[in-house]
Amino acid sequence: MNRLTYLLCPLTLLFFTGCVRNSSQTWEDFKTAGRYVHRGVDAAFGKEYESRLLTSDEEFIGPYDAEFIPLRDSDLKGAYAGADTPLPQPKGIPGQRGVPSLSDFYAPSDDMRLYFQSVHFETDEYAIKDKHDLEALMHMAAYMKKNPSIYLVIEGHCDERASASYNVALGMRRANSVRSFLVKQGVDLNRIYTVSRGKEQPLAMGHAPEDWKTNRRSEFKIYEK
Amino acid sequence: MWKIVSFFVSLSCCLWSENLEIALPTRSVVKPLYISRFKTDPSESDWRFFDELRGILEFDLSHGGFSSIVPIRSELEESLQWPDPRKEFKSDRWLKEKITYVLAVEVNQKQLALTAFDTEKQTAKKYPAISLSGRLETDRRAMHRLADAIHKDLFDVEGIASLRILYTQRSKNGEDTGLDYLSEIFICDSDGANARQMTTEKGYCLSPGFLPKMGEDPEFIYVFNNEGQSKIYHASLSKPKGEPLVSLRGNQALPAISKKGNQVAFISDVAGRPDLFVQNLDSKRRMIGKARQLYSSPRATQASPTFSPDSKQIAFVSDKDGSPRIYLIDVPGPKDTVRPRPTLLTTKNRENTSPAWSPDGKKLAYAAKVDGVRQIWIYDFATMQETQLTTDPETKENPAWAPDSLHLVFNTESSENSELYLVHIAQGEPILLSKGPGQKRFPCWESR
Repeated sequence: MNRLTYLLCPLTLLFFTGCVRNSSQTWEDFKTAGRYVHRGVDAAFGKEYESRLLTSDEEFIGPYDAEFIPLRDSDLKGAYAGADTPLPQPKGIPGQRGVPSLSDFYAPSDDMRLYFQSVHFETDEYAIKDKHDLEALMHMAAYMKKNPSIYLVIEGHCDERASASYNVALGMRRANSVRSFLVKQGVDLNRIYTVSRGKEQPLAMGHAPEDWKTNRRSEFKIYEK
Repeated sequence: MWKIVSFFVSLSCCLWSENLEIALPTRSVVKPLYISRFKTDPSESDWRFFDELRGILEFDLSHGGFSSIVPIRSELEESLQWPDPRKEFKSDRWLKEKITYVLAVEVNQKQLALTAFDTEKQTAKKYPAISLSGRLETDRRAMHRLADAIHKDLFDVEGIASLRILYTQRSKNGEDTGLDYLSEIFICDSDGANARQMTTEKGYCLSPGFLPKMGEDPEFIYVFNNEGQSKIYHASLSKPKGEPLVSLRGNQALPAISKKGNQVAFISDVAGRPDLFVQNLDSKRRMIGKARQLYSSPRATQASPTFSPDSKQIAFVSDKDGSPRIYLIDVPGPKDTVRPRPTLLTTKNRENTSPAWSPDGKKLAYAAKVDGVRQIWIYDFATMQETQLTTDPETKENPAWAPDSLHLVFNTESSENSELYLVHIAQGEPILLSKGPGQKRFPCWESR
């Protein structure tokens, strides 16, 4: 009898909480709670993802010649083998010391468009997954490796559904993810710049899934030195 | 056994009912206020102008959250004795009509004189006369300042009527070159009137924010990109052409300034991901030392930081555990050697964005999706409750607090139309502020 009671009580609880949320919402909450608890448990066993005790001021301040004080997150790499590698921005500042100004970049001409086709993203995703888009990027990387005088600007765009401010950050994420992919294919990272346009410059003005897909894109601008 | 069963059943009921309860975080007592017709000498004929001025007072005092305006009535007008309404003023007469406050206004020789009565306390105050210029854009500023002075005297709370709102206005680029859409910084009065363009960048400006007031010329920051990368700029109302605030490679966006103006938090991809950074500033808004990377996560997008008033914490958006939610992170001091760890703040909804910490530090406003529509929500730090503030079917985002921590301005968002709305957090109904063409977005209040 007692066992039955202990079984019934949580089931009752589950029944009533089910009244106010649908299954996808509950699954979203479950995922968030799961990841959050997982990190907490890891931290309790000394496996810190986001904070750790540093041994000296020097370690905290970082190298003095760096442009900013970085997080020492090299320990994250093992935990997220599938994640894109963060790559620092190009050394050259646009418009200075022979580096082209970003306003001088232009949309590829018709004959060049073959190599610099727009690629598209899934909702709230930053990694390119479509086979044709991946092939297009590999094609682009091969062309850039053969033509070292070409500089590239990658624009990250989003659809209209998320907030304008979040999309500014997501556009950054998308542009940098494409840049990481090209660099992994052997393109010089100092020739690729990233720009986020958020959802501010849409191509399709409709509100259908096809319009959203059209707008979730990375476009490319080039400059030949 | 039944005790255990009933405990779980009642616990379930409590959890269930908690989701339906809407507890308003701040309540205020609204009392009736009467504003007289502007008493003028016979030579004055510009009734429309005086009606406009009276309308400004009415808007400012009715939306302050402490008074409701009583419509004009002839018998009440006749009970006011001129030229000095204090001499024959009978509080009992007004109390019988359940009117707590009375404003008697007279314009003579372009001088506006106002006397305020508190019928409950039986007090009266005559304000120094205001010289009217006859130009509405100038005189409306004087009326806003007068409304704030009355607000302070009658309700013992600083008014917000004389503070302005910065925002961006997005419109289609009329030229063939450049971006398809342009966005410039605009400014308007707290009632949405007097809107004028501040920047003429002919590019894309976003996320303006006032800096703490240091002098007569209010300063602000904003993000600008033309065809290049986004950078943070610093400008003032008299010199709206901005100077770079932060010197870093890559893009910098979504800046938030601390209450003292000595720190700016922002999102940058200088390290290859959209990470949270903090940069220290001196009193002349110059960088001190290097920017500090405060939070980065391999699979996450970080966005929209906002400082706590004591600058010890930052609330920001991250999708590190799934859909975008709001997290809190400590801002380490110069001698702290442990990297901060973010804690999850908002749990009630998915897709939480654009957090804004209230100036009193007690609340956090943000936008969250409810039934497919982004609504304005408020998180109360004392009760740890999340309360939905708006309900109508338009998508809303970018809430920004007024310095009184009682009002919010936010924008609706769609690809065709975005407008600014004002809402008192205890009184609910949002009021449309903006007018005219263009999408108005990213509002922020002037600091006091």
